[in-house]
Amino acid sequence: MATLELAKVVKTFEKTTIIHGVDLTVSDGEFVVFVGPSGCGKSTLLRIISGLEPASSGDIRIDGQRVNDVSAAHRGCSMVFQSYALYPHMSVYDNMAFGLENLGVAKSIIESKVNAAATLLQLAPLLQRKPTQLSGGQRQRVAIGRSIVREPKLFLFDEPLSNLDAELRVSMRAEIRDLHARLGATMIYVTHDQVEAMTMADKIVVLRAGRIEQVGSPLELYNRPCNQFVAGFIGSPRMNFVPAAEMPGAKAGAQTVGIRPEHAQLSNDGPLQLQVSQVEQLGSTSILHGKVVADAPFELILSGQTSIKRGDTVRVSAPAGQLHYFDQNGLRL
Amino acid sequence: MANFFTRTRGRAHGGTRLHWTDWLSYAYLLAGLIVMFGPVLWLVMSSFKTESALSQFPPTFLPYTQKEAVVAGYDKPLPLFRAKDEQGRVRELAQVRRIGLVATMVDPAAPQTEIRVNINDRKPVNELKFASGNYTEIFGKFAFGTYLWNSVFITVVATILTLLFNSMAAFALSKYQFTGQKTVFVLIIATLMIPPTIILVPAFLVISELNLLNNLWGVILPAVATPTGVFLLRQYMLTIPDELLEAARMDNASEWRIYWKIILPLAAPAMAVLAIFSFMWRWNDFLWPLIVLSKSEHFTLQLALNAFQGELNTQWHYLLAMTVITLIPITLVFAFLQKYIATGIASAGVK
Amino acid sequence: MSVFSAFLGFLFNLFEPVFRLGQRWLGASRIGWLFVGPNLVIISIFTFLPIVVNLVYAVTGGVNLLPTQRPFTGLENFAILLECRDYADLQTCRTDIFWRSIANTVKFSLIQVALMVFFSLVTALVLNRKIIGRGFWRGVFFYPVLLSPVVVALIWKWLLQNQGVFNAGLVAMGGSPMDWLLDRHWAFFWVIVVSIWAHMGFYTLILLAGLQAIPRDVYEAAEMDAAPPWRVLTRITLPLLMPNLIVVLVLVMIRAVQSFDEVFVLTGGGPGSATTFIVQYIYQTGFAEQIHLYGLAAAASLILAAGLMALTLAQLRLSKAGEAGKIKK
Repeated sequence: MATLELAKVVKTFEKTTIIHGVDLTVSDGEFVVFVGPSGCGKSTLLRIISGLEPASSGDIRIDGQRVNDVSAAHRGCSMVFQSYALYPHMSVYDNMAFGLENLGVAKSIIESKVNAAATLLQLAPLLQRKPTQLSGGQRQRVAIGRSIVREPKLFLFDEPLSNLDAELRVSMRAEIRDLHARLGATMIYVTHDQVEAMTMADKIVVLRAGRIEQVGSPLELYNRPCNQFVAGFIGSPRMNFVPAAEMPGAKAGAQTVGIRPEHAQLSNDGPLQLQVSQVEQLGSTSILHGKVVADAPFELILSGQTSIKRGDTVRVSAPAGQLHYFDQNGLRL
Repeated sequence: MANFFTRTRGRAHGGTRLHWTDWLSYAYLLAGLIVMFGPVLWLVMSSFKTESALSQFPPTFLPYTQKEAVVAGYDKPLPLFRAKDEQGRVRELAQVRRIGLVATMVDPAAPQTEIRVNINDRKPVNELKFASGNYTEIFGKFAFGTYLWNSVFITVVATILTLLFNSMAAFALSKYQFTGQKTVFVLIIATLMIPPTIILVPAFLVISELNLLNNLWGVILPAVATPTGVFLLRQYMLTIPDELLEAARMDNASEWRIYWKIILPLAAPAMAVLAIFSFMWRWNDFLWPLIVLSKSEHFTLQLALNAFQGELNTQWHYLLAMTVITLIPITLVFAFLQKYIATGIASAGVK
Repeated sequence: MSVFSAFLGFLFNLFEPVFRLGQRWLGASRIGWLFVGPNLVIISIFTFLPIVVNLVYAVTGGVNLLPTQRPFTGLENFAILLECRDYADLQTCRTDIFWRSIANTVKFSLIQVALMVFFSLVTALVLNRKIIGRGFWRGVFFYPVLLSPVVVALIWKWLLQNQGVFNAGLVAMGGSPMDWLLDRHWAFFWVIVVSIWAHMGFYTLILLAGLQAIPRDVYEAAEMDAAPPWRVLTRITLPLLMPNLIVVLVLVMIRAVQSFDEVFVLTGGGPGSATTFIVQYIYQTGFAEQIHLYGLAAAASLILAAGLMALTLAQLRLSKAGEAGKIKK
């Protein structure tokens, strides 16, 4: 397996800088997720790692070796594309065997490797079918199988689940996690869905506008987001932000205070007054939507069912340990 | 070499340097440019040469013709040469006559003295001259204006009728449901399978019986029911929402009115494409007009060109000019309406 | 502009009463017949009727144009065309020129198909690369397609003149000028070249469209799969282009078999009958000779029609086979 180092990687395209100097280390066997809003450069970064796009400057090192000038074919990476990019005219078997054929591997070895991957991914009965005869989830697995068979140093995934329906996405997520556990390979996974990131990653890299905002484990990002952007991006439903002036005892220099909906509590003498505009009763939990001071939107999750209704006003507080303070630049205090 | 064919992304992994395969591509394209446009360019340049210039071998690219000078004492202008006179000096002299190996020449400034020059010691003085006479004389000497008119008439009338009949048929086949409609559609498309080359003789009979032999209408009528046109327009009309017609019917509009005032304007883009195609087809038609039109006053440009080039002493300087005139209209269409042609081919698809 | 709209207004008013009447007579949906009428009438008179009458001509003889005045001869016309004492030696045929035109047509079509598809494919592959001004270059190859066959033939006839520019080049390289079109083999050669020159752009366009329909990420997957360029071409690009290639193949073949216009003006079928193809034979027999042998011409057309039908059927079968492995996007 392999380690990956990115040192001051920059990507410019026709006078626009897409990636602004990214530094990153990925250890052997880690499952790293690049996450961020669309246009943040996460796919571009992945393609630079793969070799499909050249970096404008900076170093890319796989297993300590600089690979900037090595072609995509020989970097030892494999890629699962968002659209799967299966060869439509080849059978599942041929799709998976193609890479090994190109390397001149003996037919018998190819056969055993393809069969092993097919068994792992439950594709064995489908080996002679063409991609058009497969369902979305099956095609996804063939794309993954194609990656596995090459036994690459790095597995790269470019938003592989975004074309699947919600239910399938959930089960595929688990399968990919499973795969990682069994193979122990280094995997880099790109997604725009922060839930996917939280559930799958060993380490999350949050990107915005071509820059890394924060790198850390899911819980690190959840508990100690280093800036307002990460705080608002990670966690669902989204963190609430209120002006610091409204919260007594705020840290000096704080401009905004962040409170997660799940940490906000109803309290009779809480500092915030919530004007409820909507109540969602989900049975096991209830979500109150509304506005607090200065028309700031606010959500609150209550356990169980509630009799609070639209138009009510309630008072809200949060435990001191769950308050996140941010200065005027959005940085954590 | 195969890399040459498969690199769909131009820039190499090294940034903005061009790969050797890129150079090869551009070289191929340049060669293509020369091969495709070169012959046409040669035609045009040649068409501006005078008859004598055309007989020069090897031919020059630009139309050169020998300079002439008016010399006192001689009625007609004399051709100028650069010649070595009896003293061995090289001067510009005008030739009076040539007998055998000896040319009699005079200096235009001093025309009284005749100088004898060996024909091997002289070279013609050439000047660039565009023989526009080639283009103007054909209207007088030959009935070129008539041929032009015939071609224009056939093309314009046939295109109008094609647009009219094909759009009516396409309308009927896309916006109506009547018994037998499917059959009619299949029949019309089936004619795509029947190239005119197979039914030349009986079609000739029909035209003959209709008394349209040697008549421009004999060329126009069989050509207006193009199945491609119906197909193209029908495809387009299917995308016009039916509600528009229903609303118009509720407003008491007659079906003809609906067709004329709603369908036709909305189908304008497809009609434009068909018009261009029809123009092209009719202007370039050869075999059928060859069969139908036998009197030369009814010849189209294509037939005239063919007849003219078959003559024993082909007057190439006129023939070339006629050829250039014949290709001007389609070249203009190509230059300005390329977009329509491309979309037309794309939407007509390959049957 | 106002003349134009006045003209349109005139046309509109001309036909409206006819259709109003028709509308009352036929009712709302059957009015469709009135619209499709003119088109239907024309193809009936000029296409369907002739097909039937062609059969009458094929089985009658004599020199009259009117079928009613032609004596019934059964399959005699076909016999005249097709019978040979020894099929290996075309001189022994009753109408050796017919057989020769068939042989020429077949030879021409096969060579043409191979070369035309090759050059169109190469050009399409080049145009598919990331080049500047692709629209312009595409137009360059497409321009000759628009020219009329007569113009095309004359352009090349002029180039091939004894005093023409090709011979000038030949002389410059130390050769001596030749009458290209008076030599059997060169005439055939040039007929092929001219034909490819004039039509290649059209097929290039079709193949280019097919190439551009191949999704880019399939190529990227191949890149990740370490596929060398040669394998990308043969194992990915060409197989995915196969449906279009088949279509082009058949289109070229069908057109090649019916070649007439350019060849006729360029060589007149000569020298001798070296470049006489089947359509020219039909034209000559039926219209150009002193005596118009309509029966023979009709019989020959039917034989040509049979050949074309076979080709079209082959196309259908080939594209069905292609469909089985084709991509449905």
